[in-house]
Amino acid sequence: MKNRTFYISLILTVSLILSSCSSSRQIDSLGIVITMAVDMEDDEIIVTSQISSSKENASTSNQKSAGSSSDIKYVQGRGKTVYDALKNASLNYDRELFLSHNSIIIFGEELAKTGIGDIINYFSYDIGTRETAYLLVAKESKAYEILGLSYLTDDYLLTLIENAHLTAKTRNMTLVEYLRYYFYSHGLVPGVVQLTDKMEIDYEKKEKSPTRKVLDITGGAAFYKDRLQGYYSGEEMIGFNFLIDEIKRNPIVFETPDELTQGSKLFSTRGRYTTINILKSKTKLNMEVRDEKPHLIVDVNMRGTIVEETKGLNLSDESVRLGIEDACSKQIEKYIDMAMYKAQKEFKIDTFGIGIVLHREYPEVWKEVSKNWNEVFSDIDYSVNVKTSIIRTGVIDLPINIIKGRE
Amino acid sequence: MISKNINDNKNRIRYLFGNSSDLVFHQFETLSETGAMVVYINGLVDKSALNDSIIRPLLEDLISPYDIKSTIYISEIKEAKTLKDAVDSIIDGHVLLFFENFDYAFIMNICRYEKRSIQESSSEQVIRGPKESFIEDLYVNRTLIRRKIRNQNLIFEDYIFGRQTNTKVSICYIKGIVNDEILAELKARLNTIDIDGVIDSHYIEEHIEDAPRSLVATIYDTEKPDVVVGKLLEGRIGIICDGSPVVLTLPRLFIEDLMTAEDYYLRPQFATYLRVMRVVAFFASMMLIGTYIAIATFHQEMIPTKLLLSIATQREGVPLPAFLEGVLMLIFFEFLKEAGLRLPKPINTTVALVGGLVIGQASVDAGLVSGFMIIVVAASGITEFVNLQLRELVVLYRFVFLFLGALFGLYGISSGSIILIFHLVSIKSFGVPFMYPLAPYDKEGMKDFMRRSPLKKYNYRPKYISSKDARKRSADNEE
Repeated sequence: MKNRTFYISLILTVSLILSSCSSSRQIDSLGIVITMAVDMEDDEIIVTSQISSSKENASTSNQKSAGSSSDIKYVQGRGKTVYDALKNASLNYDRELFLSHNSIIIFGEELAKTGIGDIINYFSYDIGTRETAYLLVAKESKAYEILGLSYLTDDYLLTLIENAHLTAKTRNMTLVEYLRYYFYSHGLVPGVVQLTDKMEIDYEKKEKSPTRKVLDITGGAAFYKDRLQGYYSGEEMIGFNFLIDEIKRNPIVFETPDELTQGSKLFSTRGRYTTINILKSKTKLNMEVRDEKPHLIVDVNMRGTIVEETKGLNLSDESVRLGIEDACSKQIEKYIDMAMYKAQKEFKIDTFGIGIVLHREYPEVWKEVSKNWNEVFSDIDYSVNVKTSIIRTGVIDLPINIIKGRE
Repeated sequence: MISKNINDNKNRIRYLFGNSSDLVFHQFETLSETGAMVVYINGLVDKSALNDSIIRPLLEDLISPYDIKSTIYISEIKEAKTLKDAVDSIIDGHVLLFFENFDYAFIMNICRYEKRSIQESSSEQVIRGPKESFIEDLYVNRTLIRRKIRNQNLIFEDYIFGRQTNTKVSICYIKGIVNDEILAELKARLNTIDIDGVIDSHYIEEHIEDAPRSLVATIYDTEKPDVVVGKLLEGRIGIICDGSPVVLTLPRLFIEDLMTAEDYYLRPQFATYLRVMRVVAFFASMMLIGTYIAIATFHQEMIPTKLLLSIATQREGVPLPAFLEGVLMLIFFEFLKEAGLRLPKPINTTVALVGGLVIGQASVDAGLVSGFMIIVVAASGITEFVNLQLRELVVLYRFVFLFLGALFGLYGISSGSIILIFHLVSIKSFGVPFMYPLAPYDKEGMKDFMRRSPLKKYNYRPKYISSKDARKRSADNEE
């Protein structure tokens, strides 16, 4: 019995000492970092942290509404390395920075162009950092300029990023995904964030003026290894997302073919566009070798539902449905073309991971071309087959213009 | 020896009782002018029965003391040859009758004293099912059991404990179902008891339990006859103690603490749900505060961001570290509980109001503790009352987990739980593993563990507890 007690306490003590898990911190002594911006100026790294400060809305002053915008603090530190900069922040801020809840890391454009590889190292080193933090590039600005907007609440930017699937015009990419893609040297397209002007009407002056800055995360930043090469626009990102098969439930807008409306006497026929919401989409990339050149075949299989239609089409007609499906497929092809053009002709880098498909299917060919794959990639041919199937018309009631037109 | 002279007997009895004032000697002459004397203790006998059934026939009809059994109207008459027998029966509330020139006395049982009527149990209330509970009288308690098991195999065996109190204690079991080894073990343990007085059945429990140094009780106690009957039918043994409304049953298993009598009177699905809730409540009341403090001081990264921010907001300005905050609130809560438990009802309301307001609202407003801690303490306080049988264990281990969590974080909590599990599986109650049917695992026993299976599914009595012939129903009816 005595022996047993001794061994149990020995095991417990040893594992306690060796695991060195014995430092306790009170929550109120921590500066909880929500978003972090990393820049480089004059060979010095500047780390700006957005801290959810709870001092102002402490429980003793309940009258103040919790989470109001003025509660947020920005703490900046400069140093030779990221860690150094973070620690230097304590010279002007009274709390220890707590990185475990940091959900976004923003890199300044300047820094991204010179390469973030050395810097991102820190985030995979430290035990305190969160590997699922989203990476963003501050388009055309310093990263710290992004922070500090007056309306920026704790999770405003985070929610923007997490809603990326609603449009597919942007991308959310986490730190751990970046580290994984880095080895493949493809798909390194984190999201971007940009300060844009928002027009607001000042009712007193009765004039329109850009009074407010807002954040916009349209587009994606294309990286080669750890250096920023350029940006995809919002529409190119749709093509990009189709190519890497990360389409969820976003809408596709396309022009309604004229021939479908022939013969319909409608009250209004001015609408040009039809909108389809994607329910499910699956992309398959295949490689073939044609004339000793790699040839890419993109097969997209998409199911969707009509959500908006402005031309008064008779949706119960089979031929009309087929026409719309065809037009939608063409639009998706166009998006993919745009993305491919940008990658092949402007960046000349394979951001889609096409090299991996080639490697998998033609290992011998890959051996030859892998040395200068990005050059080979920039002039491979490709063909796109999109199969759209509309499974629902989505019509609840007959549109008013159809009712009017039938009278 | 009993003297032939009445006065001689009177003096000796009076001397033995130290001239105690509640002893009554009544001397008279019967019809045949024989000198007679009744001796009894005032308050222990039925006076009207004494007058009408003993004194009156003696005065009006008795011709010879040898005819006594055909004269007086008493069903239970014995003869006492020695003075010791006579004195013992006086204490039991019997009436002694002496005749002149007789060297023995008659003992007549017309014992009757005031006792509480059978009421609804206050500590184990049920909505559905039998509501009666035991009272302080051994004989009534035995009847309550006997009425539910109409079977000559239900056996009561009497013991007397307490050098001073001479308290009657009965063990009861059903012959054929009871495990003879456990019965023999119990008898052996009972025979070692040497005690001054037995005031409650707990006095017996402490003398025969398996793990006196543990917080885990290895003998079950209940106030309800239907619970005892249920346990007897599974082969357990009951111990009834005169003067106590609490009846002990043994051996005890851990799962019994998470059961209530009502489990068997409700639909099995709902009873299962209730058991799951009780298990959750058990862990919550024991570990919630400790785990909260461990996570809040060691593992802030584990808390979802929004919750962390909310906690941080509330912690702002609180002068105490989370650990002291927890200890303070917990001690405050224990005081409030202890004060409220024994107070008369009108004052109790005041205490609850003041305590609730002071703890709940004022301490948060004053910035002494955070609101979140109040919620955690309140939650573990409420869940404590879900399993009343486990209260002693839960209340003390809660402090242990609080210290472990504050000192070592989740590591402390998990090592604490491991040690607790070691302890629980190592305990035996009268040779039966405490964690049965979980450890050792028994598929048949699991039918009545977390899941309360339909009654039709129980084909066997619990292994280890009941005798070898454990089949509950004939094999033809097995499902």
